[in-house]
Amino acid sequence: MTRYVTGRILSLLFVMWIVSMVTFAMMHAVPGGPFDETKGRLPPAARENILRKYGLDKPYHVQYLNYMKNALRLDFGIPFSNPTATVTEVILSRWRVTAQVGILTVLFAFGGGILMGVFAAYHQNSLLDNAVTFLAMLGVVIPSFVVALWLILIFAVRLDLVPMRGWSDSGECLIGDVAFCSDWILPVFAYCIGPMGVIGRYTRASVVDVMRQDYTRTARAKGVSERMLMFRHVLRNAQIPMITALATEVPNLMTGSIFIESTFSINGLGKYFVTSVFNRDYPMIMALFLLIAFLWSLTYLLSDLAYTWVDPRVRLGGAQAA
Amino acid sequence: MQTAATTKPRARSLFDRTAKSHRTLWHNALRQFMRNRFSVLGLCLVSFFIFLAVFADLLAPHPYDKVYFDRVLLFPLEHASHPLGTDEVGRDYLSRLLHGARTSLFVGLAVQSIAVVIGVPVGSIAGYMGGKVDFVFTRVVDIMSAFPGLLFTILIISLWGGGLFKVIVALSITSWLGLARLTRAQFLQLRESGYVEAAVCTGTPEPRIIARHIIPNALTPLLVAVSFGIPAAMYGEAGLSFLGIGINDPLPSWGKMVGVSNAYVRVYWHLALFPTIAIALAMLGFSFMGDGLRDALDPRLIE
Repeated sequence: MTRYVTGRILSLLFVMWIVSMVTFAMMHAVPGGPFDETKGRLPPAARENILRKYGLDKPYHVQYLNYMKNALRLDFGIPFSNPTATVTEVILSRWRVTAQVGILTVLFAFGGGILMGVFAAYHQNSLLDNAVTFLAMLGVVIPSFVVALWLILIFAVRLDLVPMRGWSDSGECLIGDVAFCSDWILPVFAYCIGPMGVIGRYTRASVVDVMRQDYTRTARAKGVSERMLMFRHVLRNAQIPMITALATEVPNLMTGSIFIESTFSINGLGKYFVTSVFNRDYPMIMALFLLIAFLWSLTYLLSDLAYTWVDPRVRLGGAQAA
Repeated sequence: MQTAATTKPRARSLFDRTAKSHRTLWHNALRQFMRNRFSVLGLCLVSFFIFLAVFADLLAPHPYDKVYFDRVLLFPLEHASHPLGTDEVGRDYLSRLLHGARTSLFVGLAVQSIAVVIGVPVGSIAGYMGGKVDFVFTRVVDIMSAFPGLLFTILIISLWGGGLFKVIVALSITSWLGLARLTRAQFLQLRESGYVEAAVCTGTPEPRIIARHIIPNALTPLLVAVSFGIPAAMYGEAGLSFLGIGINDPLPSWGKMVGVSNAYVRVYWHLALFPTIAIALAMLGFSFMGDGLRDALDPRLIE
């Protein structure tokens, strides 16, 4: 087990290294540099100075090596668009906002999705099951920006129930604040119905599968109460596909959606990424790519470990039964 | 293969039986598919959508890029020749919606075709050869899946600029991974199966084993994956166009229509309503069809 985890961590580091190289190469291949047009026309001497300050006048391989040397000491540089802060500070402050949306969305998506899935599976093939399946599908297939647009139109413009203003990015509104509530309800709802549908469908499929098993029939035959059957026999065995859903949804939700953040003008990571790409803000692009790649790889690793914890039959590393 | 004369009739009867059961797989699948109301609904929606996309030229009342300067932002039915109104520069909305179907379908089909052409051979080579080839493949796929998909696509698009073909290529770069991984898994699993072992024992040449024994059995999961991949690519295109970095201007795209409508939608609701309905129906149709296919082609569920 220790050997397996060590191996996985080493391969994670390898993946991060390749990601950093590819991102660096692609980012510099994008035509146009960060100081070509911004701040009006710079006189050539000033431009040269700025380039030298950020080390952009050096050959690419030297720039890359310098970047990596600093990155290994967790110094990710200074964003061109906001030179008074470090990249780490900017990312952390944006992430605070994104994480608030993300945590609420994860909670709602998983709570709602698992409830829907279990409910639909338990009343399999009934009218309710069909309705839930249809709703889940609707949530999965309709793009979040479309949902967001209609939520704003209906609840903010027509019914005037919630304010149109965006998410406060100063961090003064925190979860629990009353004013905060009217801010988060639409973005979180728009954001969570997609993942909720995915989780609902996963849960339904796996619960239906477990309910067909012999041991469920045996448990029912020996007179286990329905509630006990659900919690002790069915849900425990239906966890594996739920972990898969968790592993694919959580990193996504925690790093923010470009669509949700730009529609609701939330100043989070997702929105910032697009601006960074457009502004050719090299340190920000590198840091965001590395961060997201790291989160993804880490979640995969953790979910693989979670499989062994949930299901003792799963063995990692060695020969797996196909 | 040489077979002794005495065993020939027996061999033929075996062959007949397999041929028959092969036919019944598809037969069963069709029956199963047609029994599910959702999948039939999906098939109808998809057929309708394909019909609109193919005959967009004939069905559209106006050219999609013709600008009527005196008819900007008309509501539906406000003018007799624009049943769904006009957009912010005075182009007929119905015509743009119909051509949007064409854009969307074209992107979906093209991206999935590229994904199949790259993913299936790469995946099968990795799965069949195993060893070092497979090791390299697994690492490459690991690395590529660590890249944040949408952000990667945005970076690529900012590298090349938008436009129909660039969007297709950018979306293809990330979309073949899933198919390759699936094909590899199928090959790994089928390579160990009894009938492949039997074929190896009787001295069947490798290309024949792959063509006759592995590919037909790996086909159904791939078919299901492709049927989900088409709407996924359409979704990707809509998202990029919504952000304004997808399809370039005269060409219509539903995602772009929703994105542009953001600025006008408080008054001109029709600009958001129609593309929304179009996206929702197309995506629902493909997803229901894919779900139906998956259930119908899963032999464990047929009873």
